[in-house]
Amino acid sequence: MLVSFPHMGELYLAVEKMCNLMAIPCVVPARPGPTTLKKGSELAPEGSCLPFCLILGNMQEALELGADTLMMLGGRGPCRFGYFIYLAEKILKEAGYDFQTLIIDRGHIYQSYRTIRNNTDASWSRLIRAVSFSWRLLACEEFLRKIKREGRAYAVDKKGFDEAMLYWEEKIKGISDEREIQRIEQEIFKYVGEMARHPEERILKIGLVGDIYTLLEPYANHGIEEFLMERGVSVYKEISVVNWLPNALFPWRKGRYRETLLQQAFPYLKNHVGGFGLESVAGARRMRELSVDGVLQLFPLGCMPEIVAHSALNRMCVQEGIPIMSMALDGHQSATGLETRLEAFLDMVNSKHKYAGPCLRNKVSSCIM
Amino acid sequence: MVKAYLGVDVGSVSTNFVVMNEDGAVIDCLYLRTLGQPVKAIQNGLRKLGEKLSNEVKIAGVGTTGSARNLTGVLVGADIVKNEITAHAVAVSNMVPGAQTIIEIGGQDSKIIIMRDGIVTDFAMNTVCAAGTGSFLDQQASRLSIPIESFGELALKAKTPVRIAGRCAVFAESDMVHKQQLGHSTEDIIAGLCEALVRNYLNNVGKGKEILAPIVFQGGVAANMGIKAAFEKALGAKMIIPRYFNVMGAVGACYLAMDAVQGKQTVFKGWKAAGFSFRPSSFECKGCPNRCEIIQIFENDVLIARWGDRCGKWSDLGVKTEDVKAG
Repeated sequence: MLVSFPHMGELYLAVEKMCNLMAIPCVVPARPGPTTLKKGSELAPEGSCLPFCLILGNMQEALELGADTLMMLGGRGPCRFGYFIYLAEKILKEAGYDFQTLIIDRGHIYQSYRTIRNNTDASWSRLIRAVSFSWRLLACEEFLRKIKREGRAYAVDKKGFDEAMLYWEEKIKGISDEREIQRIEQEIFKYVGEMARHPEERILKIGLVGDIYTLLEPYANHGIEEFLMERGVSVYKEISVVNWLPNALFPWRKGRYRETLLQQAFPYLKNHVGGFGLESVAGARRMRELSVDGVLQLFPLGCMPEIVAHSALNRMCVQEGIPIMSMALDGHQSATGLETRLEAFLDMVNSKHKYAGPCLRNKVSSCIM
Repeated sequence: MVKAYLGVDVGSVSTNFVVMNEDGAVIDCLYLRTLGQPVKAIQNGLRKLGEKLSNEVKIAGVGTTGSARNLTGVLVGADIVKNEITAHAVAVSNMVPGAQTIIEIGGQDSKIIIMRDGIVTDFAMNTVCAAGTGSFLDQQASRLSIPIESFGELALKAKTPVRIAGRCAVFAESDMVHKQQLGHSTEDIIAGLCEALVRNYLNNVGKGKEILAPIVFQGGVAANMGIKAAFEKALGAKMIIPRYFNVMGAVGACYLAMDAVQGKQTVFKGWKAAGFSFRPSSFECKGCPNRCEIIQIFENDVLIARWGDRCGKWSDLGVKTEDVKAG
């Protein structure tokens, strides 16, 4: 058995670790890029969204590396994301690839465990230990990313900051002990607490909302975080695997999670619209509480839930006075159009931030590319 | 010698130059077709302006904008490189004080900018489809063999404009062909097209925007009387077409340059840059799966700029292509 899985941001670190801990042989495909997109679009049905094309292409790349087992999250709900693995399995098998699937979804966990059991000697207890450790690792990794995107703008010594972050990124990759994770987190806390900072009011804060794949996978969003960070913006993003997965997977958490989201999204969105639509609206609302200067909604072209969220966000930006720009992303190779809009958005938010004072900051903005 | 500022706006269809004095008066402007070769168009413009003005003005600052703004910035030597949305807004806030809405339709894109008290409060730009931009009008004009200059006038002669789908260039074209085969007059079809484009603009780019007068209409398409009339009919307000409507991006770049230099020395390469040999070349970086397409610009065979990389390793001009090919 050789396990593989499609990429989504930095998730692979934890998944690879988990496989290693269970002594399951695994192979990590290359990060999504133009080749992935080309492969995915060739096989995917016409009109498929960008995340599906990239995931499908990535799976194909994994199979070409010799993988015979594909692991992915399933799910249910009006967004296509939950069906990706089921659809991809059909498409790839029709294309002549032979493999089995490990689906992490309600109703499939036991079967997936059986598959692992039949092929390796991983016991329940070993599996649970591996999952719990890699979960902890993922949390630490995502914590570091959060510090990086939010904190870089404040750092006076940018070069030192980048070096420190790179050092911990490398360190996290090699961790094998839970206490070590704790120690690293404390180190990061200490560093950020002690670093020389620019004053808060000079820093522009931009929040990102949208569907999870587009937000987490840099190739899908044209490296928007880096783009903003380079321009001295503190980037806020609440969606992460650690924040979201338990709520999607465990039925006992789902009710409360949805209720909180509905409360935050009220009165702009009063129902779950599938995908991350409700999350986007609730997220933008929370961003407002974090006093961000503007919100960017990113979603793949044709993403229904996000289109619904877009209308709700439009209303929110008029009534709550928060600049929101929506951007639909697709397989375009050139980022010029995206950069033009982002630069203009930053110029706009900046001039409000700088010259206009509080009264004009209540003015409205939204646009779609 | 008068102290002056140079603004260059290089878009998909046109390459525009504006030379402005310190008081914001336009000394000269130039509207050229890019014809898919921005480097050639930029040098051509520099040469023309240089021949005319090199003894009269001294350039104290340069601003570039438009989709080729980075390339232009490197070729000409720019003190500021800015996106066209900001450039247009800056131009209007100086030339038409008090304007609240800017409708800008260019060759490949159309945008709306909402301004309040001289500050941009909202904007939008099309990308999904090129229906409703200058290129599409150009193409239809040549299909009907009408010179683009008389397109607008002809539209004004229409008695009963036909209904045409404006959402998509392909649908619009097939609608036009069908109506023409049914026997509608060319004037009516053209007027119908103008109305469809305006409807498309207002339903897409202008959706949800608070369009308040005074409304400024600019960009190459503002020369088209038919479109102007259709806008006035749809919005029930007069369109203000500024004198330099087709070079407003470059006008904005001048103002931005003025703001950017503030006593500093300009990095303008001089009119002589028109004679430099610029050679762009590109290659695909194989360093990681991103496979970035790296653009290199050579000036007289010396590498002067490189971009296109996401990671930034190529931005250091000291890195040789051979070094990294191996890695």
